[in-house]
Amino acid sequence: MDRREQAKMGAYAMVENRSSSTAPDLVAQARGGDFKAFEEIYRRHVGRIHSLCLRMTTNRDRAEELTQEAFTRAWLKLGTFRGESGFSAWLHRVAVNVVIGDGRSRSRRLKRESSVGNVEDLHRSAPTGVPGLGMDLDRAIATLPDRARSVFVLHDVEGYRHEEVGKMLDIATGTSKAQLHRARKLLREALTK
Amino acid sequence: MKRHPSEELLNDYVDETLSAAERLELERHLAECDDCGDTVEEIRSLVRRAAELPDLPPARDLLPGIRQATKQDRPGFQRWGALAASLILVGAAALGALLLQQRTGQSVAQVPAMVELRAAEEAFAKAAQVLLETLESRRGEIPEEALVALEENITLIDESIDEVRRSLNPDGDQVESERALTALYQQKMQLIWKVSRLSS
Repeated sequence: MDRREQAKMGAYAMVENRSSSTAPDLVAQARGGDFKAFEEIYRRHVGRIHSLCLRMTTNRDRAEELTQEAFTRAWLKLGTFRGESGFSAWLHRVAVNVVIGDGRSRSRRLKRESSVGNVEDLHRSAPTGVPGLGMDLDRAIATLPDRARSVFVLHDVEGYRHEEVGKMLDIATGTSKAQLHRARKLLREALTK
Repeated sequence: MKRHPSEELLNDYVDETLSAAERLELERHLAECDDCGDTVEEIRSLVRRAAELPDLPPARDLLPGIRQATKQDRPGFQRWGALAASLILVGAAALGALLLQQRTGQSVAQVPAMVELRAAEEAFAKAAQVLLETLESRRGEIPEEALVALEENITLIDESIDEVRRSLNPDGDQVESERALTALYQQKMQLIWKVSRLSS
């Protein structure tokens, strides 16, 4: 497998590795209508799904709403999960679609998006027990312009490829790359201040 | 490489998306240029930190809201939806297998084929019956206009099925007729299934 193929595999592998694996029988039970099994799935994955929502929106209330919406949609769509990809990757993709869909409709509704995120919401949610490293980066991410932040979170934090990010955000692959480079530059500047 | 490479190139280097030739040329430059080497290290460090960011769990339990949103207290409609889907597949597979068998020439005499067609039709009819009974039990949750439209469409489909069945000729080529029958049965099942989902 060459580098490009490894990069292709990146997103799913990363998603699977970063989440605790979901026992197939748990998923099968949930698909059969067992909500208790689904609750266990929720407990295993909620941290990761909420992180995505919070980093993408930088707003704690919206992040909770979107996390709830993502799990609700996952429950309703469980019948469409065919197992080609891992369950974590599937669930994660459902959440990404929820967050991006919400961003689009919000953007249409408000005709504007704040270019600076809510740093304090992200800051408050960062675990205090972790040495400042992660927290500092999260604070910096929250200050990025929307498009650059979305691309950075999806590519560098979540591990999706540019082709995937481009499709998700409805932008060209080249635009995704350009936004990522912009985000990295802004973050490097912010973190070295 | 005499001039400093662009940041784009340095990012691509970190992301390992450069060609072998590009990488080699850049590495030659990096071996001599501390500034670019520092930039590469900064980007690498950032990428590593991003991938290692900790999960941020919500401040409150979101399960009650999810339970409410999915109306978990009601009997699991999704379970029925999955059952409906599998019944459609079973029915389609039965008729599909019959068609395949006849077209590949391993076929059977016409009279047994007619018997198998009837068996496949019966499988469809049973599946449709299960769907309709379940639909009936949930009638109160489905918009009335959808039920009216469903009944009208099912009547039309059933009339078409009867027409095609009447055209079946035990002594002639039935492939086209059977294909039409398969499509009609699938249409009927999918219609019932779609209407049933309106309440979910």
